[in-house]
Amino acid sequence: MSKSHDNATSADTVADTSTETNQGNVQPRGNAFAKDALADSGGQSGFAGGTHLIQQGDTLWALSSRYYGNGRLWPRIRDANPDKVHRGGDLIYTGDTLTIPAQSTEADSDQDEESGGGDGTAAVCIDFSTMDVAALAKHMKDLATGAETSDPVNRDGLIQHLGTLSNDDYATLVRQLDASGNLFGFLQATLSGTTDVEVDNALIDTEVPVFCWRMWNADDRIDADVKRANEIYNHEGIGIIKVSKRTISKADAETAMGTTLSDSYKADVSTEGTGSDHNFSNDGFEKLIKNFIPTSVIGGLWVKDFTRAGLFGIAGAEFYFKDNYPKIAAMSGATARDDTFAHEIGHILMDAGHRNTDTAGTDDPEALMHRGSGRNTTAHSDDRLTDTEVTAIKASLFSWSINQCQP
Amino acid sequence: MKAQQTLFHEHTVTALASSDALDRAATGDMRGRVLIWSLSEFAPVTELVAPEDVTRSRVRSLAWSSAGELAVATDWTGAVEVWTGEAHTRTLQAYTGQATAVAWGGDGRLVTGGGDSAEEASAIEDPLGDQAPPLVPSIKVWRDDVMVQQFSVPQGMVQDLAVSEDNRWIAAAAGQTVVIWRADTGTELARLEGVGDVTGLEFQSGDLLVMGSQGVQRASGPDFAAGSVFSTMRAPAAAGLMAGFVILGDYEMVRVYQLPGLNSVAEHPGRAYAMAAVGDGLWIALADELLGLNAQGELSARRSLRAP
Repeated sequence: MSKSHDNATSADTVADTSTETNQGNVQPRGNAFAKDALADSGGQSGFAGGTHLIQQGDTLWALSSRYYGNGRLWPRIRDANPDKVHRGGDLIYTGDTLTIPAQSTEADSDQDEESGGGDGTAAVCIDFSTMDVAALAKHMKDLATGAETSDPVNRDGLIQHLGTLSNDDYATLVRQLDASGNLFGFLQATLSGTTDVEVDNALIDTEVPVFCWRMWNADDRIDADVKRANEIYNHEGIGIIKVSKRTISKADAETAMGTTLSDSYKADVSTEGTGSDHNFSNDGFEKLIKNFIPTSVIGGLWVKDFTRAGLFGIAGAEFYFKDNYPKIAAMSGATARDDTFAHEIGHILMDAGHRNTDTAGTDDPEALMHRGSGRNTTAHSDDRLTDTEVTAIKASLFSWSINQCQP
Repeated sequence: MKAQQTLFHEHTVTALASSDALDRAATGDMRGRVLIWSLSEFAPVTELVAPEDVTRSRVRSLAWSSAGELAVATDWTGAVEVWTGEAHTRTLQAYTGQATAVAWGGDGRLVTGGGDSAEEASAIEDPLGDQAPPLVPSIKVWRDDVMVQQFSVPQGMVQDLAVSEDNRWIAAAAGQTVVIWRADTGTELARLEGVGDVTGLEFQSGDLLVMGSQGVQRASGPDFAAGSVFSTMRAPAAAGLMAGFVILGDYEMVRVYQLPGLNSVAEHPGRAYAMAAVGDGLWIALADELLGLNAQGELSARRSLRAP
């Protein structure tokens, strides 16, 4: 599996000599970065022009916010520095000096209006109930990759609208975004810098979005498991973001699988899975996954239990669920340990199996990725990932860097 | 002690127990928080913070003794905390694997259900599966923290325990099976098979044992020679008993049935995670709120479990 981002090289390859800008990413409202930028802008109106020595962490968006009070004006800085800004605005190097053009108030005002206002409270320009999903998804992806800077979308309105959708409509929408190849960019532009209560925003610089679904007869442990995951991941600079927290009703599951289910069914993870006694057959489980779990981002699925006794959780559908579904983490609501969800998404993020020895070559049962049968989950320490693992997670296809995609 | 507004559960409540004599109930949640409630105020009054040497996760079981001791079993420590009032008095390392159920005999014996770690490694070597360590489940009976009896149970997590009021019987539910022993001799008396996992187990006066399993509710007695199915209903996620009533909660609704005819007399929407008889009534923990039923099986109180 490739570990590179689709719109940027991994952070560790540029750490000392350059800084990636991802300048086109649009700031969702209400996040700390947006507030800082707006606060800075007050005294910078009508900037007369000058230079700026690039330092680690600088982005064109941030510089535009700083000098013009509006991050969306970053192309002006790009255009004034063709030899210093690379890859269309994705890459600048620390130590270079940028020319910051003078601010043209009239032009800025026009662009500000065109882009829906520079205060982050864009007008609603899309009727979400009849929206063109593919067009919206492409727009959001373009925002995330910097190919688009004008943003007429009211994110709060969009997120609110998504919350009103039925499971069926929501799953259909996600499938459409997924199929168009825009789901990740959609989430990146919509959720980056989330204010999810389970995430300590002050600690993180990389986010991992996860669609969370719970079968109707599974224990409600999504919040607890995500919180535990963030206790383990946050201090490594990684935030696990709940994109959704939804319950798949019995009727939803029966519709997806095309069969009648009992309240006592368990997920059948046998490789041959013939299915009986209302358990998920392997085929049935696959149908359910295909209906609800996207293929381009991680999906978490909490089931009542598994037909295999003692199985806390599984990750990577390829082994269990045939092909094309290596992005699912499935947990037993009844028996999973409190770090099982963190463990399973670790498999997906690192594209790796279990690790039963630490870097020194000695057995480390407190390691998050240690095999479940021997892992000590009750250890007080949350420092359970190696530096190598953290680097792999941050370079994963399923995470984005908010330092790089935010102003 | 007055109720405190700052006490609440951030996560789903998974265990509930009451002590009528102390006018107290206890709730435990998915992340190991244990709150003590005033029965009269229907509100939490204090929290039992885990001792420094214990890392709690999901609270599996809570039980109050007639002497006022509260036993707390949480996931994957194998330990049972014992509290008296607000004081942690001791931690009993009951298992090397997991303690999942606790109950007290009227004579002060503590009964625990759980599993000790097996020596052999798991034969299952799935590359991406998170597999439980192999456990050997058993029921242990403790007096003054000394194990005085041990009973084997079928494979599977011990879901529930019950000790009869006269201390003659001990019953345990593991998987689909309920096993009943004579408490004095340890003789196994009967094995009752449920349909699906057994979710609730209660002795009533005399020799009546009621088990709720997923698909069939069954009452057995006397002497448990033969169980008789008295009702088939939707699979309960939790089951409870109070005088004259059976309460079954499935994944959408709590239903109150009146004995002996098992007529449905009330329904309350929501999934039930735990139930416990409290005084003449019964408390039900839903995903985010607590319900109180009175002696007539009517809803008499409800309170959010989340932050105000």
